[in-house]
Amino acid sequence: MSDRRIRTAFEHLQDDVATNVPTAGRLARILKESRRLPRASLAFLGGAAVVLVAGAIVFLLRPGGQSVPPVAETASTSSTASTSTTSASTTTEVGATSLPDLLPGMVLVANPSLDSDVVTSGPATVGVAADRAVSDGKGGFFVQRGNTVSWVHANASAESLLSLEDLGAIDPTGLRLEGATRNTFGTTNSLVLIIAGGEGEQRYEEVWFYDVDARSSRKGVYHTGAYEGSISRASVERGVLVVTRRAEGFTWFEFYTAAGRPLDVKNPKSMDETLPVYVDQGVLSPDGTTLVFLESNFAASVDGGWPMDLVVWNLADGTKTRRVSFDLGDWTVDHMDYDGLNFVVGRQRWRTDGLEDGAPLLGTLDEDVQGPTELDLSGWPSLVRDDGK
Amino acid sequence: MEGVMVTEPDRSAGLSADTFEAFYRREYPKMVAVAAAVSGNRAIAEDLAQDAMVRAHRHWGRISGYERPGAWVRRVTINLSLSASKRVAAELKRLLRLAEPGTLPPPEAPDDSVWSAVAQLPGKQRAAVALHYLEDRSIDEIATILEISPATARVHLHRGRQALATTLGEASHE
Repeated sequence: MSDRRIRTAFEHLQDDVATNVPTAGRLARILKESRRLPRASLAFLGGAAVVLVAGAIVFLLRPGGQSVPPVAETASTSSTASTSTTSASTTTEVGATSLPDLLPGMVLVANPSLDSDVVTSGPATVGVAADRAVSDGKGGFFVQRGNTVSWVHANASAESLLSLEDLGAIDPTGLRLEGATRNTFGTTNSLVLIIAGGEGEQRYEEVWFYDVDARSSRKGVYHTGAYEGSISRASVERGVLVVTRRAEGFTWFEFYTAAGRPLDVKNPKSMDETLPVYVDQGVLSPDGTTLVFLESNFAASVDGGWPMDLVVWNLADGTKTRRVSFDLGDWTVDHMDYDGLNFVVGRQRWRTDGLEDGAPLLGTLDEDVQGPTELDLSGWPSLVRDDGK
Repeated sequence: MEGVMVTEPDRSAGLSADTFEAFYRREYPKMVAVAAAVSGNRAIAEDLAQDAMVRAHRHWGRISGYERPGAWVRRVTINLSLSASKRVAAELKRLLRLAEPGTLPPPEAPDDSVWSAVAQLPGKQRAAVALHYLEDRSIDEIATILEISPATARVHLHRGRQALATTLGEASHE
């Protein structure tokens, strides 16, 4: 009897909706918004955001033969690319388009679903249509799309740097652009990459460096084999390499020189510690003296929420100097970046159909801890740094 | 060892040929009903459903390739509705606390005792009940939409229906 009453109530609700809910007007509003703006999805990227389109970068950021999002009705002028080829790279000049100013403290948010190659959202966020994007410290950025990495210079010229197949790794299956470091191996710019390869018992992951100046790669300095877990983050500054590891429910940090030799520093959580504490995303400050990482006690989870502490760890004396708490809810951390003052945390969550990117959280570790606050764009975040840091 | 490489979800199977417009016309009214049932607030249901649809449009390039774009938009609608119901409850509590004694009437229970009983259910049970009664969803479909195991979906639905029956003063008829 109660079942009938319940069904009747739900049927009345359906009737009410069918009778009283206009569909056309609201649909028209969505479609009208998308037609009004230069590129379809930009209406949703952040209110009154200024929009810049670096149209011709599409030639390098979007691999040939793959689907390209539809061109907007009022797309900006597309220049004719002039291409010069060297043995190491290809340079494409991008005509009248330009990149927005990338200033220290701003955030690059990589999202392959963006309809435009570069967009700005508010004063501090720049979206890039890519899987990953990291600042080059000179007003441009490096981007990863699929298994290729390109360099988009400040003048908006774009240059393909490397593809997975060219690195010389053994049976490679994928790469991940972790960041750019400017004080390692005496080079101005090195890319930090994680390369995966092999299958079954031959599976491995390695940390590689790509010397941007010399256009050459260095073989993996850190290697994990099958059944040894995975690398969740690799951070390199001033010759120090921190690897955040994950295996069978355990997480820990390992410290090395950039050349791959173990480094004797006070470790906030080493492999032999079995504390019920989850750590993730160990990131070095640009001067290499401080490690920032995320820490969570599983037992502290309430109602599915995920309380998380951001910990600042002084590598010189092995002390925790700061701790900032926030709740990730049902999100997991995809990537964190730190520039010595600001931190940004990228979020993802699993859905039936795959991973969903969330809006990153941006905070500041000054005397009055700010934030973290949610950015307008969803995707994989990294902070813009100063040249030479 | 888990692979950690950045990979795109496999969208080779079951690609949806829907345009966003067709998807919207088919799903939006259903989402309004889901939002009304889960949030317990008919007045904000249209906005909640619209918000979910705006998000679907924003990511349509990706979502349209999913095997079940409808499951995605239901999940978002339910999440938004549960958040909204908490927000509305908190706001009401705040208003009652701020108000001078006697100046604000106590919250009225919904006229229909069924909706009053639904509103008392925990979020996941409310969502399972709504999907069952509104859309006649199977346990497996509810599990897919709520991203829980079928066994958990069965428990949520069973407990929800049992609680409704108890609140309405009658035995549950499974």
